[in-house]
Amino acid sequence: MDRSEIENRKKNIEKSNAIEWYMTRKYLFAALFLMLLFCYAGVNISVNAVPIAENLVSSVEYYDRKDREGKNEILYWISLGSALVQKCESAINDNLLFSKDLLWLNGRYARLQGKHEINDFKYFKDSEGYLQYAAFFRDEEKDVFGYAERVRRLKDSVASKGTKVIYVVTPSKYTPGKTVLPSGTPINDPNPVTDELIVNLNRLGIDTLDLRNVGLFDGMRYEDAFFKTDHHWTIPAAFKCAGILNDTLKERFDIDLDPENVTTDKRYYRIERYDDVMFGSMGRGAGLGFTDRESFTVMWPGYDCNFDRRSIRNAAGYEEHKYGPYIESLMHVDVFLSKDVYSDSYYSLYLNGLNYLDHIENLDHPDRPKVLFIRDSYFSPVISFLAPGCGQIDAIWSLEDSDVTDIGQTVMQDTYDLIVIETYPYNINDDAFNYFR
Amino acid sequence: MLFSSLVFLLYFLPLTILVYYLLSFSRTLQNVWLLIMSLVFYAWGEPVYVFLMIASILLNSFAAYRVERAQKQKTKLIILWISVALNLASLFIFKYLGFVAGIISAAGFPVTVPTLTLPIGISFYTFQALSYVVDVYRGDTDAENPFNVGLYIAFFPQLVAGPIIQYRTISDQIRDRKSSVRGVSLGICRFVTGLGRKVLLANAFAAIADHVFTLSAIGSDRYAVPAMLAWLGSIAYSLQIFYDFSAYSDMAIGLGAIFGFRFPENFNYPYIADSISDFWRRWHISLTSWFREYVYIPLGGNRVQNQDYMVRNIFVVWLLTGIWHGANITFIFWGMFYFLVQLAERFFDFPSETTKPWIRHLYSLLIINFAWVIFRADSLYQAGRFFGNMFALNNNGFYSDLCVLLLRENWLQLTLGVLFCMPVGQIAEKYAYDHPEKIRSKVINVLYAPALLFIFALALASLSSGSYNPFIYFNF
Repeated sequence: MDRSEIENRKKNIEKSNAIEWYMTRKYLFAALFLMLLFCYAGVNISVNAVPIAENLVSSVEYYDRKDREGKNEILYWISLGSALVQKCESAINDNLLFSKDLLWLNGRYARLQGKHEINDFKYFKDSEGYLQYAAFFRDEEKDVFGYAERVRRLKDSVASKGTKVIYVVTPSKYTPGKTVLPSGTPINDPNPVTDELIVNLNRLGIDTLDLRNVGLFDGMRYEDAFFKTDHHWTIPAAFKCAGILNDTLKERFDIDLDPENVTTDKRYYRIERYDDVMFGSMGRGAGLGFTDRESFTVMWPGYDCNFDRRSIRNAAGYEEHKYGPYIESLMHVDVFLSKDVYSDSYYSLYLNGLNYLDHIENLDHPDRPKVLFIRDSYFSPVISFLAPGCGQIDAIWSLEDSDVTDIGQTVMQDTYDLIVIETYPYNINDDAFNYFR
Repeated sequence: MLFSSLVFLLYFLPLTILVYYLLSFSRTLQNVWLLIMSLVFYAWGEPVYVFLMIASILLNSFAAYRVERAQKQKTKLIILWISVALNLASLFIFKYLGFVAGIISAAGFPVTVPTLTLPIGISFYTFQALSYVVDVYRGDTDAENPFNVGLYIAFFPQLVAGPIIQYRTISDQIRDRKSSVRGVSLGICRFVTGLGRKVLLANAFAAIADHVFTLSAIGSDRYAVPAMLAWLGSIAYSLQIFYDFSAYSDMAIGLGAIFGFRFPENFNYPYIADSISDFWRRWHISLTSWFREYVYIPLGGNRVQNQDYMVRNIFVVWLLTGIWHGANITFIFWGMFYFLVQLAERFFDFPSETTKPWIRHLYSLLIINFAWVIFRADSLYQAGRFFGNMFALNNNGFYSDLCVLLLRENWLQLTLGVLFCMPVGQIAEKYAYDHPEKIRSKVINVLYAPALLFIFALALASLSSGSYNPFIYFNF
């Protein structure tokens, strides 16, 4: 065999090796992919098929009840088909195995790139690690004056009963001057709309308390006032503002919700910090890969007070009843039992975070003021702190307009000493003013 | 149903593959299964319009059958024209009726028409159906049974976003194709690569482009889009449409290969083109092939008596190309823009072979980028405003903090996006193929499978986390 033949043979062998390697890696990937895909899909289907099917059957029954009337048969079946497809797709997306691990991976991938935003600016991490809401533009106009008018109508409807009304705005997590953001960040800033609302309320003669401007940050750092991973304020911040609110009520209406100067004095609380337990709503949306757990400070009451609390937990009217001392009736200590940070946050410790309706009776002091709170989740700890100073509290979730809670009806039927309407700046929208339209 | 959705990846695809290969003993049953699953795929997003598709299948099957059996040429032609008219009528009613009614109303003759949702993929499957009947008429292929025609028209890999396949290129494969481990493996690799390009790259560019174009549309009195940001938005859209469309083609070709089909390539690195004519030889190749085959050549193509006819033929093709892309004056304008540019290239021989390569590429990219602005804008007015923003003509300034932020947040996607517009992957593969003994080749070979698995996992993670995943083919 001469040299050229040897060279040719060598080249042929090399080429065939190259083809072999080229295809081997394709075969290897294809085999791994198919194996993983069938295993993952198979387990997903076997675990979730029955719950998804049950979900669909109940959707059909619900749809049948709700939407069959007035539709001809063909239109009914067409719209049912579309609804079922959407329902099925949602059920598949919501019941995905290892979804939290995938969420972690998505977040970690973003973090490794040095990103501050996640999921197309759903959240933006500021320079101090706080998750903020981002928005490139406001896509809806808010009828702020219209909202203020609804509050005025509410106030007018109770004026004859002598009920005092105050509108409270809580601090915004995005606080100019405190929140540190890279230049150009499309931050969702609710403050201009909030300012406009306050101006309109004042113009219409509504008493207001703007907690953004009344010294929350006197003696309290921004880092101690807000969570990194949650849109809520911390418990110490809520406690401080409960005190500010009570001082305001005393000054303007001569209503004292802390006659013994106990419940708004932190010396009567045992303050405990739990590290690495809190993972708020924004964190749960971004994932543990993108952000970390943080600490949660609880203010355990050092005094006694007994309550009877009935809560409506959902639109179906599911009711929960708790009674007894403060911790047993107003606090949801089960949060300490859960190890899954995605199931709920420690913020639910106070009044379960948020219920459609809470009816709280002070068993020790029934003669104290009767108060209606029209509120969102921000006021759950505030209501807990002020509860001992009230004889009865009704707390209605303002954003929910359902058969179980009717703010207008509640206001007209019952007589309260005080109505506190509270909104978190990001919640100033049409849904938060579901009354006296 | 989208390829980039959990229901497709984790339910539809495994089930389809599994049953398909369990039916390996019968080609007919395999085709029936694929047809059923294709109809399920379509009905998932369009539960009503699946009946329109079935009607199209039956109509075109019948028309082709009658064309083949007609004795007289005149009868064949009449049946062909009826079939073409009915296909185009369906396309016109669902896609263009509202647009035309708007034009007539604007001209002073108010016309009210029902508002119809555009069936997804109607432009693609109508063109495929037309090509089938025309191919039978020409004698390029025989008429098929409705199941095979149905499979050709409704086959889910290429139903929503192409590639548009002429029947004669696939007829043999429908009847007689061989699946192989090699074909399936290559198909899976191609599919996952496409999925990664769509979810991890195209979606990131889409987010940037959508935000910038929306900011531009809300008016400079509310938000002045600085020139930097406008340029970023236009480049992001150019990248988005390339990666989204070519990724869908990758996934379609990959899925076809899994089931033993060989689909033609639809993209050939269009952004390395050195002229607009070259660009259109690389972009959406199946569409340009269809127009060449069924419009340009029947009109005479290049082989006409004088250049006026050639110009007319090119004009007709570009007009129809623009119209095909959507019912909006912007698409027609976009088509005419390319008509004028291509005409100029022909008659002025620009860019010529002597022009420096970097000038040719820069010229091409600029023209393509400007054309995409027209394509993306909701109206000619918005397109004009966007161009004004790009050249700082709207008192909008040049520098943009937001642009810098977006560049920082998307540095990886933009870098990879620009890089993979060039045949980097192909070069790396070829290197590994030609030099298997080199360390670099060995590294590529070893890392290939883990890298693709990682891409798939990232894509799943992105989809399950609810990240931005737009679908841009609702116009088609």
